[in-house]
Amino acid sequence: MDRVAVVGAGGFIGTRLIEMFHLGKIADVRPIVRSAGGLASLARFALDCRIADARDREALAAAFKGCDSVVDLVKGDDATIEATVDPIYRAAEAAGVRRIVYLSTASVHGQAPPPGTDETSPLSDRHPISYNNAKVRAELRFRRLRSGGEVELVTLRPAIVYGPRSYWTDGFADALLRGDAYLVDGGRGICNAIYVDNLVAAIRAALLEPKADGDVFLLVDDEIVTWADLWGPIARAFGVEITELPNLPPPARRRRGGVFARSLRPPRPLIRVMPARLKRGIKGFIAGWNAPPEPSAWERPRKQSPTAGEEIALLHTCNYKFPNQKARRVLGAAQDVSFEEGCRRSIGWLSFAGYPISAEAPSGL
Amino acid sequence: MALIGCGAVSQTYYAPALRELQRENVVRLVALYDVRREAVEAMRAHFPDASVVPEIEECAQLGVELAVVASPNRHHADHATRLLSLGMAVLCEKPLATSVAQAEAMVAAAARAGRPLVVGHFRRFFPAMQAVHSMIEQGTLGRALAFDFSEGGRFAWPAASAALFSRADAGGGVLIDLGTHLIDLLVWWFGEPTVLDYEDDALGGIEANCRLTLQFAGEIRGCIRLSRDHPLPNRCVVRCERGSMQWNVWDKTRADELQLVLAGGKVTVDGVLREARNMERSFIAQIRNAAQAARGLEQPTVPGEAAIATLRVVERAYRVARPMPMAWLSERERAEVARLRPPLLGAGTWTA
Repeated sequence: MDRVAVVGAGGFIGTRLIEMFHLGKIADVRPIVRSAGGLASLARFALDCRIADARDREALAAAFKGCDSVVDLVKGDDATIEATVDPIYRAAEAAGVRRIVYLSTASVHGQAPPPGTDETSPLSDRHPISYNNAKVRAELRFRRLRSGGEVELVTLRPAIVYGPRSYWTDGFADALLRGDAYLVDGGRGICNAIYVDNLVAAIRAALLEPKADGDVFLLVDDEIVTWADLWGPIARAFGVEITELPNLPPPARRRRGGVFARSLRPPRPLIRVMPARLKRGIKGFIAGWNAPPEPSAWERPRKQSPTAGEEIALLHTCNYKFPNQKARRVLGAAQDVSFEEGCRRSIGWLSFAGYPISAEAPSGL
Repeated sequence: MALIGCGAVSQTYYAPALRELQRENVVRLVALYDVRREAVEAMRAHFPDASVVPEIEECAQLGVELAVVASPNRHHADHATRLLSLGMAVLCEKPLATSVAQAEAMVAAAARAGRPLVVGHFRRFFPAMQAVHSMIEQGTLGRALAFDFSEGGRFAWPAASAALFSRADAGGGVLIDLGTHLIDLLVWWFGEPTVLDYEDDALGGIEANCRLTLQFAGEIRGCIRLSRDHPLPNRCVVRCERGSMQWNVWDKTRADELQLVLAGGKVTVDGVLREARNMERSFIAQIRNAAQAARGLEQPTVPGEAAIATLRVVERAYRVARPMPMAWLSERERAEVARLRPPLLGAGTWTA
């Protein structure tokens, strides 16, 4: 069994990857986290976990020693995204690692890409959302390092990754509880969703497929689903219909494809404009759910992206489904979990995590 | 005073509390001990006059009367026993030990030495928790019937080492770490319980999530849900015949708030208790109590004996542990979970 180092293993994709690789005996995984606290969820397994800052080449090289390959799942601010590329690649070289699988994002093409966008489309680092630009620059830097280095590189561009612990799953449930969940344009836009297990299956394929070296793959599931499709089952599990949520009109588009930030801010408090039945339901949930926690040693304040409203607006008005044919053809990664099953498992997770899921919800528990 | 162990809890809570108590001339920190030089130096920045001791026995030569044991859990028993045998009083961080046998040996060592052994269950010093205790004792809302506690969030404690995530070092996961606080409160209010059920998500390591169901005398039954993986409702409720007492665990800046919901009516009383005291003040009150106990001026609020029942609950729970249902796992993964966590004979109910 190959030994795989996973940098940034404490995040939601890393947590599920470790779980799948370990329980499925797919690989001998070595989680790498920035600080001891990152081990909290990973310590469920008896694994050879390491602590290393992804900007520290020497610490990484020591952590990579004996590993066949590295999965780079580093998250962070824009500076961190870019600052970790060189140390990871150089450390992998020093440790004799064969291949790096770098998790980029489909957002390098923007949140609402023009029809026809695929892996060959040119990249720009002039997006209105700075995260996209940081990921573009990180991809390009990795590519340059590969062209002059020995370590193989596969770049994956997943789109909307949903499932246990995902922002797109838990974050929507949190918004429902807070009473500020909303849709833009009725959530009719195409959601380029990929269930986290299907992403992990693609990572596995990217680790193994010899022809994938130096290549880039967009990753989405096969089904064409909308945002209303993705969030409808979660809303229903909370006892409300997605159509009852406040609906914001689509923003006016600029000529060059951007959007105006105006009117993207959701009306607050939305609970006042909700239908009476929804209002009663949400109020009931809130009564049993604590207010957002005060800052404490146990809970870091969650960063609210200043562009969150703009990002949602762009995503909800997306009218293009990314292609996944190249990933299917070259990586040979089939979609194991259907959209319906992904939603069922996501709701099962929310129930596990203590969200007030109604008894009729298809949790599968 | 001496501080044995200069990790996260010492730097986060003990350092500011001890600075305040030093200003009030209640205590003076004279000795610091930790095997990690950087941890000792970080603490010494706050207490430049304190000596760094290479062995804990040297605390006695510095005239230490009270030692705080805040080392990794697996060292609690050894450190506390050695300090007690040298005639020092000990305030030991929770959990008192990683096993009941160790805790009993510590209590016996304290009795032999004639020195107090105090346990760091500082939530007993929260005015709100004292009010709950008093209302239960006096039956203000009638007989207690049930409880429902949930506490957890994505782990953000500034752990200085990985000791908290090793069974050998910590004795377990979120149950022995966070759960001992909540079990201690329940044992204080209702006595020692029967473990009805316990499930967690450990798969070869230590649990990040768990659910513990307990039953106390008088048919008081309830559940504790804990997580260091994801946010929980973070709400505690004790239901009584004529209403319920509720509080939000995350409001740690306010340890003096309690909500009373009266049954059969629409009255909800949101109150701030007269003795306003936040979490930090409660922590200071705990050290003050231990210092007074060391001088023979007060009884310890949480003596070592009181923590043994809590550890017994933890031990029983781990003994009957079964895996939590994890609905997101594939069938193949569930089969592996079943292999890693085979059903226990007699699991389900464990009675003392």
